[in-house]
Amino acid sequence: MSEVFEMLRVLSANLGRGPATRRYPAEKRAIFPSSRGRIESVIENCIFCGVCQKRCPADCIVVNKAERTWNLDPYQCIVCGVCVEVCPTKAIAMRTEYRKPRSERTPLTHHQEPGPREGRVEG
Amino acid sequence: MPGQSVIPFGPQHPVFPEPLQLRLVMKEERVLEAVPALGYMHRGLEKLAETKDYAQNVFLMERVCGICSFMHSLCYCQALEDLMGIEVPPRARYLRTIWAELGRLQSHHLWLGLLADAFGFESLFMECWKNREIVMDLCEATTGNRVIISGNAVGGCRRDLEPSVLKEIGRRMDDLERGLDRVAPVFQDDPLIKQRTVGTGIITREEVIRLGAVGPVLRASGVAQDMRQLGYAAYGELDFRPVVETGGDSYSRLMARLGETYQAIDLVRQALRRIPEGEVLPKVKGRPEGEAVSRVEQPRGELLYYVRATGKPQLDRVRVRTPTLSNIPPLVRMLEGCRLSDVPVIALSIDSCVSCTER
Ligand code: SF4
Ligand code: SF4
Repeated sequence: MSEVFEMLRVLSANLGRGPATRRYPAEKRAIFPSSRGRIESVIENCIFCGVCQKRCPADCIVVNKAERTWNLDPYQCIVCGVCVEVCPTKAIAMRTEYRKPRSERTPLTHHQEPGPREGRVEG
Repeated sequence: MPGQSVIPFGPQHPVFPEPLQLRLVMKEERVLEAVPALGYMHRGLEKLAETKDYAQNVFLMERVCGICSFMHSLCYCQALEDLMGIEVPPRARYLRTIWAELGRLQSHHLWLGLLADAFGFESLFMECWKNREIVMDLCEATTGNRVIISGNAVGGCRRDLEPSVLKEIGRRMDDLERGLDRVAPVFQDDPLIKQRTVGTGIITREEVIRLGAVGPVLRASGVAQDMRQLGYAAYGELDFRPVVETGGDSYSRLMARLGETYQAIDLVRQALRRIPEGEVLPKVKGRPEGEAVSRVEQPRGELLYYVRATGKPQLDRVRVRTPTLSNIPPLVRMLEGCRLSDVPVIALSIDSCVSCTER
């Protein structure tokens, strides 16, 4: 008998409660402020020191000082955040949203135009 | 032999989340012998670890296992801290304890759900995994990721937690305990679950010791051994006693894990109460040289890391011995003489994790 009452209790509680799951994609979970979603280059700040390339555990950054480029293979990146921590000039930023899916695997290349930064240094 | 047949159980089987094969030598409905076949998930991580520097390896070692990843980085970091003579700050030791117990909570919830699923008890499975989401959200809120939380670095922790976050963890532990209170009586008393677990897959105290079982498999047969008794991280300062059951059957292993789930909630609360102030990551100088062994209690049992270094940033050797490897001989013993219909639940009762076993 007690099982029947327990069942009725659970049943009525569940009827009043609504679903336990979210109605994705209409209803999305709020993103945590500390989520590691993806990294992004702030190329204007980069001094091409190569520290991020050296410390990255997944070998996904290639820095080319001569050509002033910073390359990331976003599909090899494990979003550990090490490069963000070690960069001396805050030239890499952590974002909370994940990278959108893409149909081809191409590295992201950021190129810094010579000029503004050098200008600042000289001035 | 006449009258015998061999049934391949796995590598793809609904009760195994990962590929493990058991070749069952059958006589009618009884298992005469179970022959395990490993190697479907080998990734060569130990070799890869020799090519990266010791700090980068923390992230690699986290990827040995996709469930208890934090424990792998913890065990690896402890070995290196031992080698390099680094004193881990007290606050970092407490944070490590909190994350390790959160890892145990999510792993045991995952297993409880899988067990319910193996019986076809779908609502219980969903209830367990719903509770598990509380822990997963806590992991993401505190470290930025759900499973591969990257909380460790050689020397301490990569993140500190604000007092408000610590309070939130405590509050969510209350929610989790309420959720667990709803499912625990079902696991304990449900006649169908008892029918499938009580008296199946029995292994005695002498056998678990002789075959080298670890973790809940060992403790469910009455041996009070848990690596947390070593007092690594902050366990030495917390009130901790291993959860021991005496039946040695699948039901005892279930009860041992259920008990450990409650205990993990308690350990998190204790750690939250006692966590001291201070830094979490001291500056690490020098290079590792020598040999070290480190052991931690993973959700599935004792995890062992052996590290050898020669003063270079790269390590000479990293050896990982995971609890599932130790629990396969006891599993083979448990399966001898059981009925074919009991094989799934018995095989699940050791909570195997194949990807870390084969690395
Ligand atoms: S991103 Fe930062 S660490 Fe990397 S090369 Fe540029 S300045 Fe150096
Ligand atoms: S987040 Fe980690 S893996 Fe990704 S580029 Fe930075 S260091 Fe490399």
